[in-house]
Amino acid sequence: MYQYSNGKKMRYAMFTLLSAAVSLLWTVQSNAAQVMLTDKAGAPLSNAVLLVDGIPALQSQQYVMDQVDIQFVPRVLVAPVGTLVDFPNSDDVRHHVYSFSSAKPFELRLFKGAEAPPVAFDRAGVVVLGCNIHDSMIGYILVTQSPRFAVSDAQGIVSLPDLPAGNWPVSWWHPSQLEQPPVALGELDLNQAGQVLSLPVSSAKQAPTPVLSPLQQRFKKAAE
Amino acid sequence: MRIRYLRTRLIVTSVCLLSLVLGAVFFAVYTSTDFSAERQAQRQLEVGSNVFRNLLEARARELTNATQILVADFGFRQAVATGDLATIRSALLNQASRIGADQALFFDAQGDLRISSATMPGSDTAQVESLQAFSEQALIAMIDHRPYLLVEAVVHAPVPVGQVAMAFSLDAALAREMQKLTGLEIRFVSSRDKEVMSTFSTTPYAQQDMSLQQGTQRLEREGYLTTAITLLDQAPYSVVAQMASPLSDALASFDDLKRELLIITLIALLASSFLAVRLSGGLARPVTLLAEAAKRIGRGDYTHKVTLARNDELGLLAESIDAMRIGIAERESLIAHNALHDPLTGLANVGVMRERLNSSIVSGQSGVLAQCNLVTAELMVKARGQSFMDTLVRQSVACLGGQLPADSLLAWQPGVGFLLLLERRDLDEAVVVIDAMLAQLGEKMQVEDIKLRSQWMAGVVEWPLQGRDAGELLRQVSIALGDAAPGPERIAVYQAQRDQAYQRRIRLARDLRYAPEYKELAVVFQPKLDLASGEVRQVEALMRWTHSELGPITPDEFIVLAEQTGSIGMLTQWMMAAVASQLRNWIDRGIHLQVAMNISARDLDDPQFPQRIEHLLRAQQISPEYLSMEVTESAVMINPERSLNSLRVLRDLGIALAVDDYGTGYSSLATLKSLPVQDLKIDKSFVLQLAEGSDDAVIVKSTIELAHNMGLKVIAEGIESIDSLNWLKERHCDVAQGYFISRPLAAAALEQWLEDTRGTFGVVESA
Repeated sequence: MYQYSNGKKMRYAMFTLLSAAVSLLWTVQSNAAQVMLTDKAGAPLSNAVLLVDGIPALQSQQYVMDQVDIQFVPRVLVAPVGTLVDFPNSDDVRHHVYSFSSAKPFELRLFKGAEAPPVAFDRAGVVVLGCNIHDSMIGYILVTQSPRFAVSDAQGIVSLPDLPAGNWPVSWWHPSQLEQPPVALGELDLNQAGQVLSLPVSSAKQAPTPVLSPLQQRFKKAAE
Repeated sequence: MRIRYLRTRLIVTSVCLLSLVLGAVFFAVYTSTDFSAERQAQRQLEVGSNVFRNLLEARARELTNATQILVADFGFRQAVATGDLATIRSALLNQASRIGADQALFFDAQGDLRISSATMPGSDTAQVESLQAFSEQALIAMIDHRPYLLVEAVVHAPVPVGQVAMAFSLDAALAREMQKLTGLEIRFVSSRDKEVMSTFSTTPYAQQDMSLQQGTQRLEREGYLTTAITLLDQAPYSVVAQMASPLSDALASFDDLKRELLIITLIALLASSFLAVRLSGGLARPVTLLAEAAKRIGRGDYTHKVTLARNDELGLLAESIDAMRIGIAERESLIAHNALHDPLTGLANVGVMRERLNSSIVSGQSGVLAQCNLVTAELMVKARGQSFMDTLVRQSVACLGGQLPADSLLAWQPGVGFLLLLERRDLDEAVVVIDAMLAQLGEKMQVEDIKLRSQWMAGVVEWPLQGRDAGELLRQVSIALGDAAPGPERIAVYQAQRDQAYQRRIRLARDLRYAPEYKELAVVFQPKLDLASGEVRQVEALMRWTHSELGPITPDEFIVLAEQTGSIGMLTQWMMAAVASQLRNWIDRGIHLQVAMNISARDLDDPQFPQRIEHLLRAQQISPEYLSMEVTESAVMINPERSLNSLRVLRDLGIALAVDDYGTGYSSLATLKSLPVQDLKIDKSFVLQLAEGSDDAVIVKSTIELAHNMGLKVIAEGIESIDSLNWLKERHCDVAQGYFISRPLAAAALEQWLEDTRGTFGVVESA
């Protein structure tokens, strides 16, 4: 109990730290393209991924799928094909991370801290992550060949730094797509300031809406 | 009979009452146990149905957990996520058999049924036909026409990739299990469009009797209390769990109680009936005894003592009845004694005498009946009182004791005297006995403070000579007693003629009172000759009674009767009126005669009598000198003082008075001296045979001289010859009266006679 509440506090601290870093980035890289993503209802859509093709990739960076407070952090990670992703365990409990996704089925059996070796994602696709002992833990790694990509933050803002001017093929993905590949939006000039992209996602708040069981659906249908 | 009825009624009443009470108790207990049994059954049903539901839910929870374990299994998840259907099937079957599921289902992420553990022949997968939530975790499903309890679990890998459902058949096995736990009969009925598809039941009872309605209801015929829980109701399918609580079970628990109650009731009824019989017998038996005793007493049997050895009211009643028995016996013997005996003397009474007489007559015996009484009984009662008389009688009875013949019967009847019955004796014998008895009674004896000698007389009658009837003989003996007189005649024998005379007297006494009314009376006048002058100046008025049937009645007969019966006053009245009327008539016609009439002792005894005479004379305006009155010495002597007083008043009025019938009865010179009379009338018995030298002549001669010496005129009556008349005339008798001069004549005849004989007697004298 104490530990749990302590973890919550910690998460809150991390979140404020992160947003501070973003705003720092925002102010430093003044040429970054910023697009707001909304759902069908026009509400800011977080954890959505914008992918831009046709332009060279930026410098490769470290891809980490952390586990904090029995949650995958970030919830959605975009990684280029062929990258190694670290699965550090920031919790003081063990996790058993697995994925049965065809893009990369793997299993990291009960590990702690940095015990787990990095996993290489060499095929494009969606990899749904789960923890065998913590059913509530769901994470997504979108393995893509697109050079540029970004995940929308809590405000639905997607920031793509150093995006060359002009129209580029843009596609999007959201956890509600499950293992479906990203959906193309056509060529767009994302550098235009104040752009808002409305995506055909129904629930903006909860990324993975739990699917009703067929029996329940039937029952509901019958009850109606 | 009535007692028996009372007893029966007592028994019936008490037994009925008891039956009623016990019946009511029995009924109350019976009903309440029935009610209680039903309530118990109902309660069992409620509890059972709750238990049923909870059990089903618990089972569902259990199954859910088991299913959750399956879907949480990494390998299973992997199999599902990788779409390894064969693995999935084997895992499903494995888990299903582990948890005892009858059907295991797998649905893929798209919700399509991919695997079912049990299938109908000719089909790959089972058909889920209907589904309805039963609880949070459980559903009721209709799969392949069979009802199931179904639990589900979603397979996450980690997103939902499939779904597993485990179903448990609602079958007989479950029903039995539920029955064990709830104690109710369970039945699952699934139907489609109201048509029953399948039934799983723990009881053999008929399906159509089971209602599919929800709620508790009773099935009387089957003896069940049932309720139903609708598990699934999705048209056209429905699944109903029916629960039945057999009433018999609940009732059975009371059977022992009822049986015991019945036994107790019967024992109580028997015992109390026995008691009622005993009690009523204890009441009715003594009542019967008492009734018999009362009947005995009613029959006159007082010999049996009535007693009941009890201390209660019945014992008291028996004592009272016994006291009554003794009292009645005493009083009855007293009454019987009094009925047969005279209370004064203790001798037999007239009733006994009558009885004895009758039986004697009937048995053909002869005998003599005597009645004797004290001569002066009336006087003695008047003078000394009844108690003195009673004492005298008692002492007389005492002195007779043992003197009479043993076979005689002596009785005393108040007002009658002694009655003596002498059987088998002729008259002479009897008279000797009676005379001895009278002599004995006449002995001197001391009564209270007086020594006296009482005089007794007796009447005697013989039977069957004089009669054959006791009443008649008693009457005759009483007449005979009336004929007896003190002295030698103290025993009078009844004779038939005397009886006829007596009857005639009674008749005359009765008719005399009506004689004036019937105008049977008449006045005749007998002339009185004044011997000195040879003239008739006076007449004696005499009464004549001509009875309508018996003819003329002599004055000797009816005057005596009138004096005895008290009619004399009435006769005097009549006479006075007749005489006054005649006098008035004569005076008016210039005939001047002094009329003499006889007055009785009763007239003299009446203080009003002189006054009445005066009024009468005044009313007719007749001078008192025209009237004279003749009174006998003995009449005066009955009440001398008052009589003398009356005579003086009459004398003072100026009415002439004469002493009548002088020489008979008391002839006291002292009395004569005191009487205010002018005339002395010598009785005719002395005058009838006047012959020289006879006793009568001496008496008459000396009487005339005596009277003259006392200053009285002498009247002689009964002159029937010239010799007598002359003799009297020579002896200076003043007035003569008799048949020789004239018979008594009616007024008209007298007037004629006076006319005819005027101067005749003067001629006689001179002749």
